[in-house]
Order: sequence, then C-alpha cells, then structure tokens
Amino acid sequence: MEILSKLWESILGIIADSAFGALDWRNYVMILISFLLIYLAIHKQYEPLVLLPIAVGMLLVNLCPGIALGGKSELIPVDVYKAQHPGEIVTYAKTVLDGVEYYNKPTSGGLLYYLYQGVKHGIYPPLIFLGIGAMTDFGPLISNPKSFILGAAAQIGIFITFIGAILLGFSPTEAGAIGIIGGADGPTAIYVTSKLAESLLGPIAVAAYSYMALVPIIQPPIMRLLTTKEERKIKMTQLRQVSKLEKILFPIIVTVIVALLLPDATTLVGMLMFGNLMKESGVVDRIAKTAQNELMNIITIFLGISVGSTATGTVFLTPKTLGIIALGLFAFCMGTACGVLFGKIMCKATGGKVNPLIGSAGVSAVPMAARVSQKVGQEENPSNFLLMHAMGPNVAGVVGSAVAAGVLLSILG
Amino acid sequence: MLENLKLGLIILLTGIVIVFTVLILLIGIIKLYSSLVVSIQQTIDEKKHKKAENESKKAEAAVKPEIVETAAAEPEPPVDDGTVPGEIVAAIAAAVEVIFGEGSVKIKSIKKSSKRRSVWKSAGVAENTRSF
Repeated sequence: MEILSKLWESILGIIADSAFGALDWRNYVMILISFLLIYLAIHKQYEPLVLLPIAVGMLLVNLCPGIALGGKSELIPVDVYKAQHPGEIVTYAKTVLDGVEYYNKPTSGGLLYYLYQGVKHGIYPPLIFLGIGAMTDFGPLISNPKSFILGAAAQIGIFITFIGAILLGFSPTEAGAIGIIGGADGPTAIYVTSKLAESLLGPIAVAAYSYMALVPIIQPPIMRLLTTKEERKIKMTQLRQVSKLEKILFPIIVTVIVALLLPDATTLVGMLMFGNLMKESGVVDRIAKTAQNELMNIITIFLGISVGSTATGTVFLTPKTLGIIALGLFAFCMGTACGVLFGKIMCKATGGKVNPLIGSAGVSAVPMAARVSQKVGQEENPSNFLLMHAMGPNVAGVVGSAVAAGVLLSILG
Repeated sequence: MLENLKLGLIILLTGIVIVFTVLILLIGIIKLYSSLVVSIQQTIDEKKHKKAENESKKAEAAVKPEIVETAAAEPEPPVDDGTVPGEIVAAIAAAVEVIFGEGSVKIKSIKKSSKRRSVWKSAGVAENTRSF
C-alpha cells in the first residue's frame, strides 16, 4: 500500500514539474500558431528560411519557457557554501541580508536567452545586411540613379503608418517600430524594434516576414488599381553597362554620404555597403562568399529562432498584436501605392519612358517585389522585360528603408 | 494623444524630407561620378585604340602593303580563318556589334583560344553558374 501511495506521489510530482502543470492556455494557443507557421513555411514555402526558425523558436519557448530565461543569481549563505566547498577560493559577490552574508552564485540561462543577445544588442540585423550587400548588384541603380526616388517614395508608408499607430493608441516608440514594417525589410524592422519597442519584437517580426512572403498577393491588385493598361504596357529602354570602377566607388560614396548625414543609419548602411564592396572589389572572394552563404545562414538561424522565442502567449495574444498586424498590412499597402504613384509621376515627367509598375519594387523585399513588377508588366505585354529596371528601385528601397530607420532612431531613440 | 499626434506629424514631415533629401543627393553624386568615370574611361579607351591602330597600320605597311589594299577594297572584311564555323562567326560578330555599336568595329580575324580551362577552373565556373 505504501509503495502504491509513493508511486502515486511520484507521478503527481512529475506531472507538477512537467509542462502540463506549468503552461498557461495562451502557451497552447501559441503552440498551435507555431504549427500553422511551420505548415506555411514547409507546405506553402512562405519565406521558409526565416519563418521556419521563427516558428520553431515560438514552439520551443511556449513548450518550455525556461529555454529563453536569463541567468540568475542564487543566494547561498557564506557558511553553508564554505562548508560544502572547503579550501575553494570564492570570487562571488556578497550580499548581506538581516546580518547574514550570502554569496551571489550565478546560474546559467537558457540557450535562446544567449542567442537573443544578438537581437537585443542589434548585432544580427547588420550582419544580415552584410550578407545582403555581398549578394546585391547595384548596377541597375547606378545606371539609372533616378530609381532612388522610387525607393524613397515607397518609404512614405512607414511615416503615414506611424500616425495611424498613434491614433490607435500606441506609444510613439511602438508606433515607430510598427511603421517600419512598411519598409518590407525584415532585418531593418527587427533592428528598429529591438531599439525602440523590444516587447513588440515577436509580433512585428512575424508580421514583417509574413507580409514579405505575401508580396505576390498583396501588391498586384494595388498596382493594377493605380495604373492604366497603357502605362503597364510601357517598354523601357535598355540600361547602360556599368563599369567596375563605378560599382566599386558606389558603396564607398553611399557609406560616406549616409553616415555623415544620418549617423543612426551608419550601422545598417555601412554593413550593407561593406558587403557590396567585398563583392565588387573582387579581391576578397573568399570572405565575400562566406558573407553571402555561411555567415548569412548562421545568422538567419540565430535571428529567426531567437525572434520566435520572444513570441510567448502573454506577449503575442493581446489586442496589440491584432493592431500590429492590421497596421503592418496598411504600411505595406501604402508603401506600394506611394511607389506606384511616384512611378506615374516619373512616367509623365519623362514623356512615357518609365513604366510606373517598377515603383512598387521600391519597397525592399528583394528580389520578390521586382519579380512582381516583371510579372504584372508581362501580363499586359508578354514581350516586356521590367525585371532589371525594377531591380533599381528594389535595391534603392533597401538603402531607403535603412535611411528611414535612421530617421526614426534619431528622433525616437 | 494630441502631443503624440503632433510628434507624428513632425516625424511624417521630417522623415519624408530627410529620406528624399538623402536619396536625391545620392542621385546627384552618382550621376556626377558616373559621368566622370565614363568620360575618363572613354578618353583612355580612345587613346589606347588610336595607339593600337597606329601600331597595326605601321606594321601592316612595313610587311605587306599589297594585302592591305586588297582587304580595304573588299565590301565585307574576312572574318573566317577556316577553323571557326560560319554560325559562330555570325554570333560573335553580332555580339561585338551590340556591345560596340553598329559599324564602329571591323573584325579582322577570329581564332580559337588554345588555352583550355584547368579542371579546377572548370569546377569554379560550374560552382558559380550552377544557380543560373
């Protein structure tokens, strides 16, 4: 009988220590949401490189919240510790409580806590930018620098959404972090959010990457609505060839100009341009390839899983998340619309030489947004090839969103 | 709320002005340095071209003056040296014309390169072009 009661006690103890006893209902909802994201990443292939690590981070932290907890200090009475560890030279800090001396013995935190430090201190996003720079060809932008205007126009959505977020009751710093979703640039969104509103990191990252994955669905209706059939049919003249010297000078000049004008954007733009300089110089192929592949892949895993780990039930399942998701979509649509509208202005100003569809590529989302411009253009005129023309505003959008991030950080940070 | 809204309007205006200013400044600077680089490269290319032309003229005049006259009289320059198939000659001629402009270049000869890629170079090319 005693054996049976001990057995029952043990079972109850294990259940009490297990996740079943500790988890809140919101954790279970988040586990279901993480399953949905895993399904979207694997089956629908929506930005799987980022969405899968985010979903797994979300799953792990909701199954075992301790995996994202930081290290703590355990208070052990000095006498007790010395008795347990005779002869040891102790270097722990001491705390005195009610006349009793205690050692502050640190205990280690969970894995995701340490990985998250790269997000918290703004280390991963610039490193991702380094890889993006090493992969990006700025040739189309250099051969047609006017593309920068479309890259700037598509950032207007960020600032309009900022006001929308204020009207919905978000604080200015939270509104800045939400607005940056309109830049359609995941690393920039994470960077700005980690600096302005760290508590919203999970919902904002999920919203930003979800909308980037949905670019082919969100953008075409806006593009068709704002342009005429004739405008969509416009063929653009071939871009001139850009020399190697121009390509080498570009990252150096952009870094100097942006850093001098907007120091807060230096980290992102500087790393983006450093990656590009490595690629274009052609003398450091080995490290350029590492930045494009191994480093980028490692950081993507760390960034995704640690951002996912911020999406706990208590943080994610709030009315704020719904507001963020709605405002993020609004920001994205506004960015696309402003890009297309400025494309129309450029079309008129150049006497019909610019196809307004390339304006939508001004939201970063490289190269998906440029592909969408190409696809929508070809629907009207199958012999039209807008891809290279759209790559100009597309890469200008990356620089533009980094500059917009710098503006938000310098005013709100 | 009113304070925040004011801040919102300030950020809207500041953001738009700064983003456009920075990017328009970049447009100006890129245009400026691009035109500088292009003009410098054109001058260098022209000098090289003239130098090469002078040298080849001198060499041709010194060795075979009659052949030069015959070649100049022909309507189309001889481009096939007998080892390169006609379609390849046509493709190369078309590519050269696209790059340098129609009628600006005269192709005198096309030779097969004797240099072949080593196994390592071939592996490198394959690695870099596989994704395309």
